[in-house]
Amino acid sequence: MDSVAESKQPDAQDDVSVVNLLRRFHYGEPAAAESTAAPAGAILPALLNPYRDSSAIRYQYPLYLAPRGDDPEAALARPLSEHLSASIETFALGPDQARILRDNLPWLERYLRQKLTGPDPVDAPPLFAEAAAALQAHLGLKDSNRDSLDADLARLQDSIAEGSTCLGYGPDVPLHLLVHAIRHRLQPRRASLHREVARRAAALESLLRVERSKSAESNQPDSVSSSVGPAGNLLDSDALSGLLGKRSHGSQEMSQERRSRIEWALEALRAWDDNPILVRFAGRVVNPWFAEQADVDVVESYEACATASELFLEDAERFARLFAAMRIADLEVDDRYDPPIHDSWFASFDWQAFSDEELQLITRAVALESADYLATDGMPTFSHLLGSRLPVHVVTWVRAYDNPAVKPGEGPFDAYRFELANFGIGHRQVVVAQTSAARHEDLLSGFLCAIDSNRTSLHLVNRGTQTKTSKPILEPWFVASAALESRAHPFLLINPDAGDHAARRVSFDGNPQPDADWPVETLEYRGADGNETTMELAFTFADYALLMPALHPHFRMVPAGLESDQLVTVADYLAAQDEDVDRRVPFVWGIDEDGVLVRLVVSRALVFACRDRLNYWHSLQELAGVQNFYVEEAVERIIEQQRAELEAEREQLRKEHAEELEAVRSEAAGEAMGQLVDVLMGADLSGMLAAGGQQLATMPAARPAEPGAPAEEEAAEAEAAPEAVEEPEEELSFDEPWLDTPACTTCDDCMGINKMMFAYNDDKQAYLKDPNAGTFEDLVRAAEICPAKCIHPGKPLNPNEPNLEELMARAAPFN
Amino acid sequence: MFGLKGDWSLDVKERYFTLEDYCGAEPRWCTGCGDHGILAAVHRVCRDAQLKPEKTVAVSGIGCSSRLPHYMKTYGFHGLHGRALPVACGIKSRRPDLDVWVATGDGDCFSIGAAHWIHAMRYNMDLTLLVFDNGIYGLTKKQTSPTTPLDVPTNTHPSGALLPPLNPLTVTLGITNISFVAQIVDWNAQLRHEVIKKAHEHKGTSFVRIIQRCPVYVEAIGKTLQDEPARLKLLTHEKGVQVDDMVKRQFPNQAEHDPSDIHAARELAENPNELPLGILYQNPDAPRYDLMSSVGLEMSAEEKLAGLNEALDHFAI
Repeated sequence: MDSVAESKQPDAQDDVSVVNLLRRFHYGEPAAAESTAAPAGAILPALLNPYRDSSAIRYQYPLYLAPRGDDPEAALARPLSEHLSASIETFALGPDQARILRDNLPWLERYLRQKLTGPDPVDAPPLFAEAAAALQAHLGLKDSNRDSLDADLARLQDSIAEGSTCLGYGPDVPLHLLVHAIRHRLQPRRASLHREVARRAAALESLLRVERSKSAESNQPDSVSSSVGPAGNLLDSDALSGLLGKRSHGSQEMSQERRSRIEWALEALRAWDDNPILVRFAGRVVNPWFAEQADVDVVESYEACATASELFLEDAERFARLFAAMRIADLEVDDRYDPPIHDSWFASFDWQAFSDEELQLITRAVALESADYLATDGMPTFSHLLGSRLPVHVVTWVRAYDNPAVKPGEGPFDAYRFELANFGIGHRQVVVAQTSAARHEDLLSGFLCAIDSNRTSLHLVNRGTQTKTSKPILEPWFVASAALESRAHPFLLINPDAGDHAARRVSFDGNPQPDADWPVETLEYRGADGNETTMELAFTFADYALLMPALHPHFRMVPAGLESDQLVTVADYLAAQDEDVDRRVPFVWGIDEDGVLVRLVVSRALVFACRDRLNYWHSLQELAGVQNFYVEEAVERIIEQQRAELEAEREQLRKEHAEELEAVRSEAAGEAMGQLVDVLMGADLSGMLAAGGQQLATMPAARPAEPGAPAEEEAAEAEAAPEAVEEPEEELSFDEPWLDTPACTTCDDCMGINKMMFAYNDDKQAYLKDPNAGTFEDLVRAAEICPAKCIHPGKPLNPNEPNLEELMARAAPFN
Repeated sequence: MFGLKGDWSLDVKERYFTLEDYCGAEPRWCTGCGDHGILAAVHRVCRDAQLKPEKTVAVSGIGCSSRLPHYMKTYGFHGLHGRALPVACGIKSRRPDLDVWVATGDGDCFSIGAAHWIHAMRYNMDLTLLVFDNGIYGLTKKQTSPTTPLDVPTNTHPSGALLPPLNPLTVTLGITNISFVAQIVDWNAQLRHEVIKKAHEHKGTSFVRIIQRCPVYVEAIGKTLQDEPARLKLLTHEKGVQVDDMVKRQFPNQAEHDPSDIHAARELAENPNELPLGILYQNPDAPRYDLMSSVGLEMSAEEKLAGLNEALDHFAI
C-alpha cells in the first residue's frame, strides 16, 4: 500500500473510515496494522530532510586533535573546518586576502573528510600536505594565482602542528578522544614524576655517600687522597687519614635500621621502570589500533568492571611502592622519619593513602561494557564498582531508542526504560556523564571531569552507529544528534566534586532548548498551492524513532489528502489535557525521498515511550533546576506576597493622602473665611476690588526658582561649552609614497605613466609595485591624474631628482 | 538544529574561476576612460559569483562601451547600433540558463535604441543592463548625445548642446513593470562594485546608469562632478547597497531611501541639482517575461509539432 499517496482523494465518508482504521492500528489491532501501509522507502522525519545528503554539510567532524602544547587550557580538539578557517584569519586580513584558498576551503575540507573515513586518527601534517597538493592539481591555476595559492597553503600548513592528528567520525571516536584526553593530562604529570623520582634518588644517594664517608675504610690514606680529587697529591694523605680517624667523637653513623630503609627506598626509586602505559582497557576492543599504541593496554574480558578494578589495583600496588619510597626519601632528607609513627603507616601503605596528586598519576583503568549487560546480568559487579571509590572509568555504548534492560524477545517499548544514568546517580559519589559522540566538546568535558577527579565514573555514550537491525537512513553523526534533539539521549553531567547540592553538581549544558518539552524548529515547505510556507514542528522521540527501520512497525502512513480534526501531532497529543484526547490519533510529519510531505500515525506503544521520555526529561530538568516546580511555586508565592504587601502599602498611603488633603482644605477654607470677614468688616471695599480675586488665593503656590545660582551655572556652562569644541583633526601626512588600493577605479591612468611602478592586484586594482622604479615626477603626475585621488606621492626618494621643489609643492595636496 | 553553525552548508566548487578566466582581449579604451573600471567590476562580480564562462554572455550595441564583449572571455555578441537589448532578450528567452550582461552607452541605449530600452525594461527579463553614460558619442569623435549637458560644445553643436539633456532615470522609473533602477559613478570602486553585484543578483532587468568619464572629449563633465561631491547624493538603506565609511566620507551628501518606494525614487530622480547614487528602485516580485517565454523549451520537436497540430485542429473544419 505504498501507493496511498497516489490514491484518489478520499471523500468525507472515506475519511472517517480511514481515520477509524488508523485509530485501530494506533490501539494495536493486528488486523488494522495489516490493512494500513507501513512506511516504505527513505522517509525521514520532516525536520531532518535538509540533512539527507550529508556530503554537502559541514558538521563537527573530522576533528583536529591538537598535540599537547604549552597551554594546558587550550582546546584538545576542535572541528577541522573551524581550525582551518581560524588559521586563515591569522594571516589573511579581510575577505579579499587569500581569496582562492578561502573560496576553495570547502573543497579542501571535503577532500580531507573523504580521506578520513577510517576509524582511527591520521597524522595531520602529511595528510594536509597531500590535500594541498591535490587542491593545486584540481584547480590547475597558472602563474601568479598558483604562486599565491602556494604561499597561502604553506601558511595554512604552518598551523598544522607537528604531532597533531585528524579524526573522522566513526564508532571508535569516543575511545580515541578518551585516549587523547588521558594523554593530555597524564603525559606532563608522568614527565614531572620522573624528574621527582630522579631528584629524590639523588638526594638519598647523597645521604648514603655522606654515611660511607664516615666509615674506617674511607679514612684510609688512598681513599682520602682520591676523595680530595686532583689536588690530593698536594696534601699529606697519611696525616689527614690519621686526623680523620680520631674525629669519630664529632659524628655519628646512622643506624642500621635507617640505612636499610634508605637503601630500600633508593632501590625502589631506581627500580621504577619507565612504563609508558597510560590507559588500560578492560573489555572487548575490536579495533587493533588501541593495542598497537605504546601507551595503551587492552585486556580482553567478559567481566569488564571486575577486570578494570583488578587492573587498577595492580597498578596502584606498583605505584604504592614508588610513592612510599618518595615519601620516605622526603622524610629522610629532612631527617623527620619517626619510626614509631611512620613504620606502621608505610607497612600498610596502599592506594587509599594516596594523595589526590598521586592518584592522578596512576594509569587509568577503563571498563568497556555494553549497556545491555550492565542493566541485566552485569549489574551486581557494576554496582559494586560504582560504590567502590576506585577511580575506574566505565564506558558504555547506549542505543538511544532501546531499553537496555529488556529480556530477549521483548520489544524496546514493552517496559519503561531502565535509566543507567539514574542508576549511576543512585550511587551518589560517581561522576556520571551521559554524552554523545556527535558533540566532541561535551564528550571531552565528561572525560576530563572524570580524569581530573579521583572518583569512579560512568560514561553513557550514544554514537548513532548501533542498531540491532538495518542501518538508519542518515549518517551516524546525524542519528546521534537526532537522539540528543529528541530527548532520547539528553546530555547530563554529574560532578560530585562540585558540592553536595544538585544545583552545583548537575550540568545540563548542550541540550537544545532546555526549557521546552521538545525542541521546536521551523519547517519550510511548498504548500499545495505552490507557495512557500512554514510550520513550527516539535522534534519528539517519535520523530527520532522514525529514523530506525527496526521501529517502522510502529508507524502507518496517512493517506494523502486525508483531512480530519482527529489527527493531531504527537507533541499536541502529549500536551492535550482534555477528556477527548484518547479519541485522537497522533502522527508525525515525514518527508519521503521525492521531497513530498507525508504524515505517519504512531502506535500507542510508541506514544507511551514518548511519554516515558518526556517524564525522564522532566525529572532531569528538575534536577538541573530548569522548569523546577518547587522553584516556580516559591517564586509565585513570593510574587503574590509582595503584591499583597504593596497593595496594603498603597492603600495606607492613599488613606493618609486623603486625610491630609481634607485637613489642608479645612484650614484653607477657614483662613479664606477669616480674610473675607476681615475685608468685609474693614469696610474699604475699593482695595479688594482693585486687587481683583487674587487676594483670595491663599493656597501656597509653587515656589519660583531662586534667581541667581542656577542661571549663573547655566551661563558658566554656556561659556565653558566652546572649550569642548573638537579640535580640528590634524592633517596626516606620510613620507613614504602609498596607494589606497581599495579606492582604485582601474582607470589605467597610472599604468599609462609607469607600468614598472604601478601594477594591478588580483582584483585588478592598482598597488604601488616599486616606488623606486620611476621618478618622483611619475608619482606626482599619477597622483594628479588619478580620478580616485588614491595615489599619495609622499616625499621624494631620490634627493637628486631635478625640480624637486616644484614637484613637492604639486605633491602636497595628495599627501 | 543539530548545533550546526551558520556556515553549515559546504559549498564545494568543482570548478574554480579566477579573474583571468573572465579577461578577454587587452582593452583598447583610452587611458583614463571610466570603461576600464566598469570592466574590472564586471570581471570581479563574475569571479565572485563563480559564473561559468561558457554559461555567460556579454551583449552590446555600438559605441565605446560596446567593446566590452571583446574583453570578456565568455560568449559575446557585438550587435548593431541600439540593438543590444533585442539580442539579449532573444538569448534569455531561448537560453534562460545563461547569465546575460548587456553593455550599452548613452547614444546606443537612449537614442537609437530607445524603443528597445523601453520595452526591454517592461519585459523585465533577467538581464544585467549597464549603461555607460559619458554624455558624448566618443567612438565617432565627439557628437552630442541625448545626455550631453547644456552648453557643452561638441562637433555637432560647437557652441554647446542646445537642448536640456534627457534624464534616463525619470524615463526608466516611468516605465511599467520595471524592477531595478540604480545609478553610480565610475570613479568610486566600492560603490560601483556593490551596485553592479546587486544588479547581477537581482532577478529581472537591472538597469544601472553609470556616469562615466571621457577624459578625451568631455573631461569637464566628470571633473565637475568629482570636484563638487555635493551634487551627488548617496542613497543609504538596509535594503540598498551597503558601503563602508570610506565611501560615505567621499559622498557627504546622503539620504536614507527605501528602494521599494517608487514615488520617492521618482522624486529623487527628478531633482535637477543632485544626482542620486545607489539603488533607486527594486521590486523583486515584478513579472518576468523570460519565465513566460521559455515555457516548453524542454519539449522535443515531435512534442511541439503534436501540440501545434492539436491547437490547429481546433480551427479545422
